[in-house]
Amino acid sequence: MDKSRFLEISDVRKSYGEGESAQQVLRGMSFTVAKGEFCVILGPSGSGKSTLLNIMGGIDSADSGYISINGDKLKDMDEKTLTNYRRKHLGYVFQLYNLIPDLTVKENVEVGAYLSDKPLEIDELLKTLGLYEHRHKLPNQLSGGQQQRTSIGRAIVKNPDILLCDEPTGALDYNTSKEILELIESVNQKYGNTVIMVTHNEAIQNMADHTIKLRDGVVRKNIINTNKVKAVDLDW
Amino acid sequence: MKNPLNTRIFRQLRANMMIYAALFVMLTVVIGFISGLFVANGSMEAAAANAFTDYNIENGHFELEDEIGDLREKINSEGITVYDQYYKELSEDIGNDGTEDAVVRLFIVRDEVNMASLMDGRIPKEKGEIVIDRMHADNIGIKTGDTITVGGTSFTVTGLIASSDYSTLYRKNTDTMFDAITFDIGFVTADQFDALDGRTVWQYAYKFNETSDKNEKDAAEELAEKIAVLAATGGITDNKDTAEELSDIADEADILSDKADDLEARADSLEAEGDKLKEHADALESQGNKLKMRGEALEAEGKELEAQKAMLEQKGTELQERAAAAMALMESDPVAASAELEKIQSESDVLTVKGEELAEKAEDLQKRGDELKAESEALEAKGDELKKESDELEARGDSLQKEADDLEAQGDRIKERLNEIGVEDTDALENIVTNKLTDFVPEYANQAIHFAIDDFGSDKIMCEYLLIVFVIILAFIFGITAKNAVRKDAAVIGTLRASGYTRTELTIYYVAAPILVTVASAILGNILGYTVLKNVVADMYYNSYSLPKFVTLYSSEALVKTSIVPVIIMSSVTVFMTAYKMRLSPLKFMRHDLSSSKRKKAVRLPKWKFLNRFRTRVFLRSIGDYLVMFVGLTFVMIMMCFCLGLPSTLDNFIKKSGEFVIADYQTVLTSDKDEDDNEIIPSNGEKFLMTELQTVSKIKDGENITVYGYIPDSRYIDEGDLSGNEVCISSDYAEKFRLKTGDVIELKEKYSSDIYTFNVGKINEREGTLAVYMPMRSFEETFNDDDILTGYFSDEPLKGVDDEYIAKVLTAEDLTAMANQLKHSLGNYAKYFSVIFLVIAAALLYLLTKQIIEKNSTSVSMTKVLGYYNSEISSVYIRTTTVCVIIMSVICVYLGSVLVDKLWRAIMTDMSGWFTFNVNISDIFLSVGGTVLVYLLIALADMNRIKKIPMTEALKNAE
Repeated sequence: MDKSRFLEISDVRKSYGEGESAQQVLRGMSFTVAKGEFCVILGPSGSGKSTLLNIMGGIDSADSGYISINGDKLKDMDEKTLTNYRRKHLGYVFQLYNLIPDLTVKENVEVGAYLSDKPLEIDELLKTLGLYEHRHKLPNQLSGGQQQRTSIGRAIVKNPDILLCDEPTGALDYNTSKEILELIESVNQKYGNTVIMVTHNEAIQNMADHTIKLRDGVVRKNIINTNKVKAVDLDW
Repeated sequence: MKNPLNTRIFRQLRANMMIYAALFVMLTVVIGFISGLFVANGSMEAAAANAFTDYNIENGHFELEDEIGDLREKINSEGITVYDQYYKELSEDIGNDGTEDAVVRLFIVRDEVNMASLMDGRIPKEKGEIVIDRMHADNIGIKTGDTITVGGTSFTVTGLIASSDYSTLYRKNTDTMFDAITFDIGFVTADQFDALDGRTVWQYAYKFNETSDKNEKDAAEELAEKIAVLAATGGITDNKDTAEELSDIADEADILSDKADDLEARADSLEAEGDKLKEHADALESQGNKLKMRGEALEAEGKELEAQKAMLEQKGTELQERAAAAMALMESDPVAASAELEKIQSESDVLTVKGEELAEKAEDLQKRGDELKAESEALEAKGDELKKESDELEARGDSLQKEADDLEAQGDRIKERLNEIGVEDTDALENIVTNKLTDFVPEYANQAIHFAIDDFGSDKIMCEYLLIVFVIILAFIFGITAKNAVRKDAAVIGTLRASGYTRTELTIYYVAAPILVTVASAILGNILGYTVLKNVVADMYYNSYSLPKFVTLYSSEALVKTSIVPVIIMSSVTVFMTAYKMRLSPLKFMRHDLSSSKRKKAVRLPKWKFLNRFRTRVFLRSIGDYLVMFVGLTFVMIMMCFCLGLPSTLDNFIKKSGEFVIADYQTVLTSDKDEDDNEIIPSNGEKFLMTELQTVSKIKDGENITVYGYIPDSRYIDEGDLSGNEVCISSDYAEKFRLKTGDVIELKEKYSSDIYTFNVGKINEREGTLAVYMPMRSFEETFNDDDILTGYFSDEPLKGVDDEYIAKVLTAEDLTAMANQLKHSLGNYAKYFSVIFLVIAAALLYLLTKQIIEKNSTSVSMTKVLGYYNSEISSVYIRTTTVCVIIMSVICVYLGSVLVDKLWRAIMTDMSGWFTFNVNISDIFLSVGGTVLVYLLIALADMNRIKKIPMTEALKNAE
């Protein structure tokens, strides 16, 4: 399998609503992402980046076109296979963290660990994330950054092939955002996960291997970044 | 401008269609049923209350041992009017197959007091016609026009009635429960009544002539005492003290009478002795007279002898003079003198002979005189003796006279005392015809009249509480639904609040739907209550009680309690719960942070497997819902235990009834002696003595207790060694009055203030009766003969005793009569109700599990996004609830059984008798099993619900 076509998006279209009120969100989107690549999808609000991420995650489905992971097309998968796909290959990081409010930090990470046959060592991971001393706290006892770190811990504890990040810094301040980006960068480097990050922060493209710029449901630019910078050096 | 939120209320209703529809149906059915119950209850209560005037219900009735006779006038003078209400109890044979199907209490058609409501047909006009109780007829399957055999006589049933004094068919007021299956009442014409064989029970109804200021209990007790006294004194007095005085006087009079009889006997004996003495005296007098005559004859003879002696002496003198002269002459004329001398000699010889004869006669006379003297002396001695006897007799006579004077004086004193208490003379004492009050039941204490009416009240109270509890539970569910809607709409609420909408406006919007549903339920429920369900409830009452016809009355109470109260409760609870949430700031809403506490800490859990900890967290998050579920299930289980426990308890009681009876036949005699005063001795059976007393207890005063006296080595009651004042009591008595061995019990006479105290020496295992058992000797020493009934225990019907001497026969069937009736009237409904409560349990579980899942829907969605299988998610969210439901069902059924037992004990303490409520293990299993089963069906729906939660939910709503 060609590692450069690990993730293939081919002429993906998606619209919401019917008839005259139908709104086309994705209008035939195509690009590929290589395995282990840090890919940033940039675009303004309404450009279709979150919809694309949801389709990639098997949460939503495309009206036409396809997305394939490692050669497996998502549209050919039944519900159980899709679940297994998410279970085995995907990790999610959301803008609003989406932690389970009644579980502690450690338990939220365990939510992800449970899905893997070979999860990472949790306490070790918590220490890496700087959450070990907070492991018995509930999400509402944490700061935004700590919650997002927990969310990342939950996503990477099962060491997924693909880490889907939907505006992971969207709700965070500058410094915390940089911490989170550094963390994702280190995860990408340490575990070799393919990272797909949706954001409207153009500065983040500088730390990516690959940038896809969207507007009105189509790919406007597909840029391979040969001069990427470290997250710590980002500024906006 | 109209508030735009108002237009969304119906959208909200549509959005939660299933929940609101389920709540609406449940609330409507419950309100409808309870409204129907209030309406039917109120209407029937009014009909029952009107029956007191419409059918002239008695103020009470009493039974006498014999016909009332002249006593009526005396009793009537106590300010009451006495009405004949005597009856005969005869066997009722339906189908004429020779078996006794029931006992019918037969009266003469009444037209003055306790009149009957004719439910169907017509009143009997001639012989061979009968009307019987409508409810009994329904139970047995008799219709107007059918033929039944009563007391061996064939009757045509001309109609069915509801007698105002038998709205519940209690055979005896002391019975634990009514029995409309094996007991019936009927009315026939007077001619027909007289023509029927059977012992007449002299029952009389009474009505007070004027209303009294006294409370009815005091008035009834006073009247009972007066009737008892009047009956016992043959109408001489109605005063108890006077009666006791009279009794003392009668005792004294008896003693006096005995003394007088003794005196009379002694006087008769004295008189006989006097007569005998007189005879002796007469004989002596006769003898004396004879002696006197003989004495006089002797005296006459003596006088004659004296005269003869004198004449002889004179002659002798003359002869001496002549001899002297002759001697003188001798010289002168010896011849003449000799001749003279010879002549004198001759004459002297004659004279000598005569003298000798006279001497002999004198000697004889002397002898006879001596004899006479001796006889006279003997007679005199006898006379002296007789005189002595006579003197003695006189002295005894004097003594008797003195005693008689004393008796007379005592008699006078008794007369004076009699006069003092208003009795004119002692003849009244001798001529009175005494009777005996054997039963007295004032109207207020008559279960046959009051049970149904009281049941109306208790039903209303019970249903009122039931409705309130039910509405509160539903209000919490509505409240949780509203809260859930608030949680779902958190961002919108935050925005609206930030835009200037007030808390009140938003609160009204969120509580509007539950309140509208409640109002709609109340309206529809009341419509159903006044129309369809009223009849359902009425049919239930008609199935249990023999009630007169009723007219539906509007009930403001029903309207308030089934409409306004539920709406107020619903509004209060939902407004409180919603408004409490609404106090949060708009920002918190917009951030979906609806926690009321600041930053709550996580509970530290043991090192369980992850999923178990996850489930525990889910449980802790939804603990409020689980608490509501616990309360709701406890409520449901109480009702389930009652509904399922009642039929099986009754079945169990019926099955075990054979063990409860002392003997297969327990025959009580009207008297232990027959008309000729000979003791009645049957050819079989074991004698026992019996009396009825009443409790003196804080738990319940005046409960009837049967006291048995058993013979030594009894075959039927063997209570071992009981010393002194010790008695054995039945287990039900011990249970009802919370007695244990060593306790002291006090029992009093029914119609007097005599109190007996016993020590509980033993508690036997005999159920189904409130009784005291004691050896016969102790029994006889303790109780007055007048209050003792004699009876016989036997394995077969008692032989050799005329029916007229048999007061009653108790068999196992009599014990089960109550249970049979309850089974018939309540047992079947109980099963239906258990299904209804199972449906309520299902609805409760459905709503709460739905709430729990909806509350966790974002988390559920998130776990889906993360790649959890639906089965895994269900195992987290549903298994937690499943375990909770199973554990709760077990705990709640236990609580339910305990609470039902307590409830039942409270009910039974107020009622007569005792009946232990048993919730069988099978009922427990059925309750738990039924609940778990319906839950499993709900769980299937919940699994589907989880399956349907979209993954996008987590992306839209982060918690």
